[in-house]
Amino acid sequence: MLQVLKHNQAKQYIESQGLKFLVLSSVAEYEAALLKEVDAVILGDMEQRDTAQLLKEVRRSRDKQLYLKPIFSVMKNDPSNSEGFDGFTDLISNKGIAEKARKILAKIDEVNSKVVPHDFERQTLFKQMAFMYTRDQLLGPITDRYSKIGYAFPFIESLLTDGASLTLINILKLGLDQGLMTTKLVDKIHTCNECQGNYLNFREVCPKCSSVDIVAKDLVHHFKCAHVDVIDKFQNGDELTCPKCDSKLRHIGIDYDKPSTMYSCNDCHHQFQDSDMQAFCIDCGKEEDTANLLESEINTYALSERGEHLVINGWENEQDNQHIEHLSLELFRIMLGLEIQRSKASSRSVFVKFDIHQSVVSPLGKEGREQFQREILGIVKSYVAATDLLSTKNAQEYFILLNDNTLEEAQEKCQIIEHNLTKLIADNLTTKEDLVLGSLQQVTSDLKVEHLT
Amino acid sequence: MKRKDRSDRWQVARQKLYIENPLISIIIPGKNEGKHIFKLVKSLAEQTYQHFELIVVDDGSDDQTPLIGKNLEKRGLIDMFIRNEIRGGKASAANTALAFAKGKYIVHLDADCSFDRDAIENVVVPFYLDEKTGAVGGNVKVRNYGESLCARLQAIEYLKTVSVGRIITSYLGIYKIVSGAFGAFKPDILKAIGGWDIGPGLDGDITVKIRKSGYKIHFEPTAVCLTNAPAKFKVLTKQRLRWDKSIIRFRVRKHRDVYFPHANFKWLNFIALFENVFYNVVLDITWIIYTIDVVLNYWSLMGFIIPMNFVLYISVSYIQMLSVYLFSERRKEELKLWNVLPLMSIYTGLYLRTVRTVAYVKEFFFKQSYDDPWNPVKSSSKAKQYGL
Repeated sequence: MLQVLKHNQAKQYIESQGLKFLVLSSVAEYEAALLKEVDAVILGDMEQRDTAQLLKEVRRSRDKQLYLKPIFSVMKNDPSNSEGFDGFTDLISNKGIAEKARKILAKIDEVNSKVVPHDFERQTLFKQMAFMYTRDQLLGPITDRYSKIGYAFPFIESLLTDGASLTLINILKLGLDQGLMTTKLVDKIHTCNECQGNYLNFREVCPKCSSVDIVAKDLVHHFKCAHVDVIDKFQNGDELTCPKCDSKLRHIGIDYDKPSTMYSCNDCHHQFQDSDMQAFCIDCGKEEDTANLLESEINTYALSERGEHLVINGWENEQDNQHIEHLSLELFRIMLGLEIQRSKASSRSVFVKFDIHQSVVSPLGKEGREQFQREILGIVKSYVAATDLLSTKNAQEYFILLNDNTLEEAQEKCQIIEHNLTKLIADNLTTKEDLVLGSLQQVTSDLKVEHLT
Repeated sequence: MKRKDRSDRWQVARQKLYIENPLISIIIPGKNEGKHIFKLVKSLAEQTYQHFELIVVDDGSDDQTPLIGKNLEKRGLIDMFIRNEIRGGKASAANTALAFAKGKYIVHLDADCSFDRDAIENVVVPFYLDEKTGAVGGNVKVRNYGESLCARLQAIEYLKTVSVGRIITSYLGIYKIVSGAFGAFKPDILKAIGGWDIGPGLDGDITVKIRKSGYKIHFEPTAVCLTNAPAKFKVLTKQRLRWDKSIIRFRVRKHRDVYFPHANFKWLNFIALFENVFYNVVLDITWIIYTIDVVLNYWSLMGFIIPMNFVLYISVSYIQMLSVYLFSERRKEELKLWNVLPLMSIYTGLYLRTVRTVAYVKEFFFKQSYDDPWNPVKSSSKAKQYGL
């Protein structure tokens, strides 16, 4: 039985079976400090937008006692439970939510959030895993017309900015790659390779000029005289008459047949049988071949044993070692500036720059370019020492500051990296142009950071 | 002097071709020809004249042809690949290509052929020599003559009849068959006569139709195309039965009007077809009568007649081959054929004559060409019904 404790200053507390619940009726009532005092929260009947905002506030906290807080709702108009509530209550008689909250709270105590990863992706993944652990539940997709990928994932979605659905998929993939989760495939989605939107218009287009103004016409074969042409040429009012022998075509299969269909383009007049299928992204306006769309898997996720272990014991340090360390361009520029200044006294540093040919990078979508960039950094990293500094401007340009290297040593390293990158890229492409171009300069006091990067 | 004059005129015509640089539509209709198409495309990529579009029509193939054709089209090696799901026969496939061809000239090819580097150029130049030319036949030679005796004998036959024979008939203005393997046409003329009619033998048929429309037909010996001839006598027999039946079907039956006086009567058309029918049909019958006569009435002289005939035939074969040698641009390679020349009298005199006679009887009395599986029944039955 629920017992109303207080109802002053627009805040309402409820106690049930020894647990204290805070009932929030609007976003304005939210205060993190208040939440810490209670065992669980009940969201009153409010706008869905407000609910989402409140949940974001709570879930984005770094404190496990807040972001894992049991949250219930009085609304029952959301059967999909896409917000990821822990349950629903009518505020009168539902001891079930108290029992559930108790179980969750017990599990929250088991979560070790003292050793947390440094980067946002891993932090988010950890939170999601902790949520799954404390609720003892799977993470399953819910169809959502307003999601960029057509599916919503409760909880984790509230940790990300709106529309970052593919980031969400990638974070979950990270959990899968590291053996922290197991999956069951639910669906495969195709999204724009530029903006990751899935509001795509699929259409048949002319393979020559990509125009949508194409028309399909049947070919007609007149058996008697072997004449073949598009049906228009046979059309004589309602009748079909052969333009070659003037016979009337009465019966399909007896006098004539339709062996195939031809398309013609009203823009470039190209004639063809197989139109191209193209996807037009409503969000960013990009037109692309369906083969170039990004394909992502939509899965139901479950915590693996290793994942549970990680939630209970904290993020293991070795997980971070797999991450390739490189500096942001801003920091690299500062470090390079310092090295240039230092070179006035003495310097044995060499600045190296690698340019990847535009033809390699430009066909890749945004997601592809990011992936490519990560892979190139990973490769370059394996050839330089831990003391060397590495950075990148975009998928085409990479910078290295080789510390304590003579120009000859740097040249040798540069050639090895250039050779291996070229080989790797050329293996995946048919073009044999200068795919990777390395250049290097001894760091001296007359160099300017802005000219180099 | 005359040769020099022709050479000068040829150069002028060639210059005109290159100045105008017209689009040429190369059409390749066929069934299950996918395995040849890539090689053909490669062969055409070597041509001296490159302003052409390539249209391949797949006439209801049941092998990998659609896959190959669509792939080559996607890669830009074929300009248009038209897949007809339902087989309609060679004529309908050629007419499909004709409907979509945009070129000023149409070059009709068989997919299993390959070409001399200047073949396309040379097969089109004659249109610039004489504007009354409606079609140009290419010079088809046997590529696989080394494969078997059968192919070697055909190689000699092609050199004698197809190459030299056509040079002479073309010169005389009575050339009557533009080979389906390699021939060039003016599309407006083809469209005016309704394109190809149902075969077999549609190449001979369309040539006669163009002749009857008042245009000249030219044979161009320098436009060389190589093809694979049947390597086995069984296959060759089937092929020749089909070809020989078409002489009766088209030259005796369908185009019989050329033999009778009428408003469009032309002596050259009359002679062209009459020569063909006379040498192949009439002399064939007289040879049979002659043989029966010899067997019945001059049996005792057989020991003299047969050897004498052979000696005469072989001698004539060598004389013919010598003339081929003078005309040919592949003299050295063709010298390899000389050792089987003595067998030519048996090949042409007995084997081909027998096949021909059987074909004539089958077609004349039973119209068997309409039952040939080379065409689908739906078309053949209509052609038979309307006597086409």
